[in-house]
Amino acid sequence: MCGNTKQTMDAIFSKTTSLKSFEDIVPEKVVCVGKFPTSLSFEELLYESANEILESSTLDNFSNTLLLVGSSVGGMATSEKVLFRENSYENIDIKKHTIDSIALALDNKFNFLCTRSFSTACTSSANALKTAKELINIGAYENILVVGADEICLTTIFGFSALGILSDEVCTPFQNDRKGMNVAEGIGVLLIQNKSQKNSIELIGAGTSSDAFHIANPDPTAAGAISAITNALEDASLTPSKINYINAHGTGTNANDSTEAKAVKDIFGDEIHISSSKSNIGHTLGAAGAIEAIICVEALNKGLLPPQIRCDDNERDLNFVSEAKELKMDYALSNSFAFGGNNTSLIFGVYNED
Amino acid sequence: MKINVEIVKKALKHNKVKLEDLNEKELVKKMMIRRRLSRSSRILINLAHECEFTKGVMVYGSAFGELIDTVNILESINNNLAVSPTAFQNSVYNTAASYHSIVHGNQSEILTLSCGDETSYNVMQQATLSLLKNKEVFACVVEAMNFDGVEPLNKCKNELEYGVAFTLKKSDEKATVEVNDKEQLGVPSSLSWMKNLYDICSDEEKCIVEIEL
Repeated sequence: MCGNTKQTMDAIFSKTTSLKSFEDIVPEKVVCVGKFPTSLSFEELLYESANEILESSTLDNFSNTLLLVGSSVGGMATSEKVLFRENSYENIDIKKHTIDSIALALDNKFNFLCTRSFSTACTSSANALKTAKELINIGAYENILVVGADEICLTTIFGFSALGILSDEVCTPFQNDRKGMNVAEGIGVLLIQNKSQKNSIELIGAGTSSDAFHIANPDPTAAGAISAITNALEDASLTPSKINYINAHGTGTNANDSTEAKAVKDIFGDEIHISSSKSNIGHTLGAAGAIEAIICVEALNKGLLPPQIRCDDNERDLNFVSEAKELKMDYALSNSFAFGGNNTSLIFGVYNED
Repeated sequence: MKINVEIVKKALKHNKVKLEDLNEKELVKKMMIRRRLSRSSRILINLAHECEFTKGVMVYGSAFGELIDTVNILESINNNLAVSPTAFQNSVYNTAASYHSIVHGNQSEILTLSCGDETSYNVMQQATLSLLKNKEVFACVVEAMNFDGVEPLNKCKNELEYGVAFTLKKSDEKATVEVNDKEQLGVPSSLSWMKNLYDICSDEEKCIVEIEL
């Protein structure tokens, strides 16, 4: 993200971006991407993020906490460095390459009860959050730390570039003249517990679906997205009118945004407050579900709608939040959609003692 | 929390180098889809067919994901060649499970786990969690590691293509088997737990295993 939670939310509420254009990553192309503005390594940032949560929690340590990680590429950036330096796979450390390299690093540092890693591309950490909710609800665990983490790497930048969907400037989700997406790195950490604390926000609904349509393009009828959102509403026992704000997946690509806009309009109509945070922090891939969950939690806690950097010429005339605006909110929904037609929607609500 | 789970169907495929009998032409009628399938997708689709699974919740696992397509991308970048869009689309860990959903029009929940050596046990745990809300769940782990340059990385001399799958349902009966977490020569560690379960489940008697969530 653009720093810690406070710095990131300040950036979102003030409509600033951490994304920058580079001419020297992809040959003969300008790409706009999001990199951490720090000299700390990705591993150090992971430790710092988990430690920040631990220190602000009621826990002394994570020995009675399940760790669920969502990541799209795991340790790919580390492997790339070795391969491109040595032109050989021989010295790639498999334990630092795989998706669960993130869980292994955190487990070595904090000694969790046990760990599990999800990799469903851009829904990875949203699916980890859904599992956390289910495990807490049945009483299998008291504390679950959900970490969404993806380090930027050339494989994803060149890959999205090959698909022709990378923007050379800061993305403009849902705008009719949108040029594509911005790949970014990010870490999002949430502690899910079976007991409420002061200012607790509840994860009250989670829904999933599969498009069964195409390996990379969403189903343009939006049937999969509609199904995930509807399943989340059903899980939360809420009608669409109860949702106050949607943090959209909103990547800035033509295909994603038109599908999501259709799903939102079909279910919620055109009055629902909606914004995408991708123009502030980019698309953090497997980390996006966790980071955007944090944005929903912060919005609910502060009673402040997160705005979108540009929203003057919108797809389907949805009600985009143009400036940070105070609003008493009870429920916020976060969408995550991924390659393979993997869809996950999460609903967060202000804790109600009743 | 412990839940007992019955193995309803089971399937196993493996080869030291490359599986040749995956029957793709029969199982994937549309040529455009068939041509684009990754190796893991071909193996998973075959295993699912053997388990008579087409629609419903799937929990898929792979420690290494789509290595062949990933290496294809890395080699392109390293040699200043254009990256293949198909290789990139196929490089995510949920590729195999997604292709199966496309082939069969399965719009249910599909999860993909990647938990290193513990992948197959975690897949069983996740599938068991899903069984609390679903009558049957398909659980499958595949590794497809047959890419140029794998030799120095394959220190354990694992077979390069391996897959194991079960169709599962929740059971209120006592567990009939207990899985020994031993390593087997040539079996990737990521699927050894499910391979061991496969080995001790006979076709003649009910196979019920206890899973701790």
